[in-house]
Amino acid sequence: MIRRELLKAMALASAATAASTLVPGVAFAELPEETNTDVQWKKTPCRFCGVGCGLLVGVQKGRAVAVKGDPACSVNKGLACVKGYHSIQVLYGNDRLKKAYVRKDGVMVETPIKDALDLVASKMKETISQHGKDAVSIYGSGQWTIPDGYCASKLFKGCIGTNNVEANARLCMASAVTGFLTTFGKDEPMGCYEDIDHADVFVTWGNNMAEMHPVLFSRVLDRRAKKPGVEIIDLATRTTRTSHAANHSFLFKPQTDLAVANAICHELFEKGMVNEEFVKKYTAFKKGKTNIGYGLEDGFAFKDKMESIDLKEFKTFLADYTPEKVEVISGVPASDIRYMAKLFGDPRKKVVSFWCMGANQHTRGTWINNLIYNIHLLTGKISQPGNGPFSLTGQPSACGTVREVGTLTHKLPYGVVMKEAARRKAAEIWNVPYENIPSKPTYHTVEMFRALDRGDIKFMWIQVTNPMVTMPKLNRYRPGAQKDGRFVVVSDIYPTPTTDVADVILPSACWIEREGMYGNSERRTAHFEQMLQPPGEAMSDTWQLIEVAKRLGYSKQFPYTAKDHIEQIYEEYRLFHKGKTHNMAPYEVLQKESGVVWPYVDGKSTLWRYNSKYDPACDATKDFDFYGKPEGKAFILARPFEDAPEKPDQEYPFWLNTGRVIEHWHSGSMTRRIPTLHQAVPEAYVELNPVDAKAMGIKHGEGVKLVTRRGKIEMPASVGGRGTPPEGMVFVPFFDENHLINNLTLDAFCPISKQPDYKKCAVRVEKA
Amino acid sequence: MPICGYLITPSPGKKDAVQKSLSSFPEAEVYPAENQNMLIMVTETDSKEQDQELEHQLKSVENIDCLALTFGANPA
Repeated sequence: MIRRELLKAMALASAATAASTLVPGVAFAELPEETNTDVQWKKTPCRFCGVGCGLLVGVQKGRAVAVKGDPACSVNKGLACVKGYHSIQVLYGNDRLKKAYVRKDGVMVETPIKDALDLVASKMKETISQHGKDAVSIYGSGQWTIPDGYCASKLFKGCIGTNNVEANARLCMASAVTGFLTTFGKDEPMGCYEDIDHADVFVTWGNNMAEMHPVLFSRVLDRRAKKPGVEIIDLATRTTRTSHAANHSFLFKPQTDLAVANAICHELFEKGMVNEEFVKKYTAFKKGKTNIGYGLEDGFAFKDKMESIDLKEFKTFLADYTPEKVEVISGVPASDIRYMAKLFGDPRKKVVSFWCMGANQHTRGTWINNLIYNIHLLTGKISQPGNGPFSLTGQPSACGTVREVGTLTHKLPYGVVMKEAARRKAAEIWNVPYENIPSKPTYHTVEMFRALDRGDIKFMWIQVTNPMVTMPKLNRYRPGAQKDGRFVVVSDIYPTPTTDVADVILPSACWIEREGMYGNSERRTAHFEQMLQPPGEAMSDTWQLIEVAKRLGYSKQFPYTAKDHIEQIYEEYRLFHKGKTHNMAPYEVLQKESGVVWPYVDGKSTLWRYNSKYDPACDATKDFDFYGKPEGKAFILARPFEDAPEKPDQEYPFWLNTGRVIEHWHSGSMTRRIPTLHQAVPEAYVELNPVDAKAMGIKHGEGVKLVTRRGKIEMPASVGGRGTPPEGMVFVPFFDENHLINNLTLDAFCPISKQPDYKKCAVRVEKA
Repeated sequence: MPICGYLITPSPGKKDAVQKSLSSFPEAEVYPAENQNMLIMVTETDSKEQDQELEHQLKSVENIDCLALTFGANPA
């Protein structure tokens, strides 16, 4: 290039660089190629948690080379957490699966993916022919993109005709779903993250938001820093980084959050802090069954029954929950309960409640969700900017795929399999006979793995999840999956303990190696384009399902083209949600925006549902309209405190609580391959209270043996680390496949949501 | 033979109009951002005097909120 041309190129590059410094992501398509900066920045939602941060990925010569927060995304406003900033490294681990493998004489043999897909289809046909259609199943996750989950549901429910479709979101947010449905009749939060910018009080219910949802928590801290008087209340069973950042940290005994919530309601009535007009106009009092069990036995069944009660009966129910009585049950001082009630009841303060696994992974998970709603409904602090209960999620598309597409045994993309109208709608859109879709749910997740163990299920296809790390009571379910006569297919990007039990491993394309969409906690659907080529023969989970569907003879139902299949599938899926209550944004809008919140009506996102100022689905003659329930009235539900199924005793004197750390996401199969994150927390550990540690003579870093009725494990102790359990409790993060804590956990679940409780079982602690 | 690079922020909704105005200068090459309210421009003039005259004229273009010189060179 002659000097003059070079200088012109430099002039262009300097202006383009200045532009991208001011506005990351700015694109100048018409620039001559030589002057475009080498790195192309493209938008995507983050691969990890359910917050749904917008990221910009820098791509250079076919490789992702940089990542930064997307300032155009209202979720994170340019921020990212430590996992988000390292997210692209997950694409480049040394042991990335690039080829398919098939087990032959006990050994995994590299196989062309075409042959492996042939085998998957033929095994499915053979199993259905010999054992019936309910002998085959698929188990996915909240990491499925929307098109992945949609194709899985269409293939299994619509074409094959079995409701054996589940996802690991059952393990993390099923109680949130049943909480929403029982109280409001519609799933997912009514508010959005913008609530943070308006609230005066934040209450975290068993939610270590500082580590699990760090970008949102930074927004909470920012709100407090900018507005005098803003308070954070951390209500938890263990002291965490969230507790340290909070204005007040209140510790309750495991399971007694139910009693604390009822005590807050009792105090609201006692002190005349109930919003009587709101309650009268927009709520109805109900009660359900009590003493509902824990699901510990195979085939456990439960069906709740709602009965109407009046205000007087509800107040009588609350009489057992005076702050003084609940102090005895929960350990939370009555004065602290009154303090929280005062914050909720103060009409000048706007209050947001946040919760996630602490409330959801709970044998009374549906109930504690209901009880948090009770507080917000009694005070009328709901569906308004800065006022609302907000259930957070842990996976990038637990909402978008599992809840909205409906990849659970009882669900369809719109409605439930039990409803004829929902089945007819699905059959019409899917182009299958109506009779194909069974009207009865089959197995929820725990029961599905029990069925695999028993042999009622013979074939299971597992995509984008790692149940051999994440299922509770793994000492039953791992051997169950390996029994003779079972055939397990696993689609993943790395070897895991789940691929260890596979008969076929299919290499998957990861995240931006394919096109897709995720849906986050605030009803935001975000699109990402294919930015990179997947390695080797890796293929998207969507396309794997399409290939198998075609081999099974369903080409008519899966006519999608390789180039446009994601757009075609999404536009087909959108048909299910037409209407003001759940309309999804068109594909071309998703391509342009950094996420769009549904209901998307007349070109606009609905940020606050059930409030007629913001939600076009409401009856405009009312201020609020909870249109999922009769007469637009949300249910205030009498739900009692009932204890955990397994409590510490003489033989097993400690509580075992499990969870996560900020550096690792989910089962660790991705973040443990990111060197910085792995080095930061290379292995799991047992958090002990310093008093307990001293009494047992255990020092930080020394070996500890944990024993429950289901198994035992040894790990190093953490004393005085980032989290501190109360005396009588230990905490273990579950990310480490070398220390499988879920060998020890209990598979008790909430009888309504069927979500297991990973936070409470009894354990013996010994110095190793 | 001065060569300059500019980053321009048009007034909201005026990107197309500003692009048209700037493109009318024979010394200017204008590139609009695809996804933001921004333009970049490279100018090449025959002399320092002509460059100064162009700069003067640029300042009179309507609907520009910000005009930033990001690069300047005057090769012999």
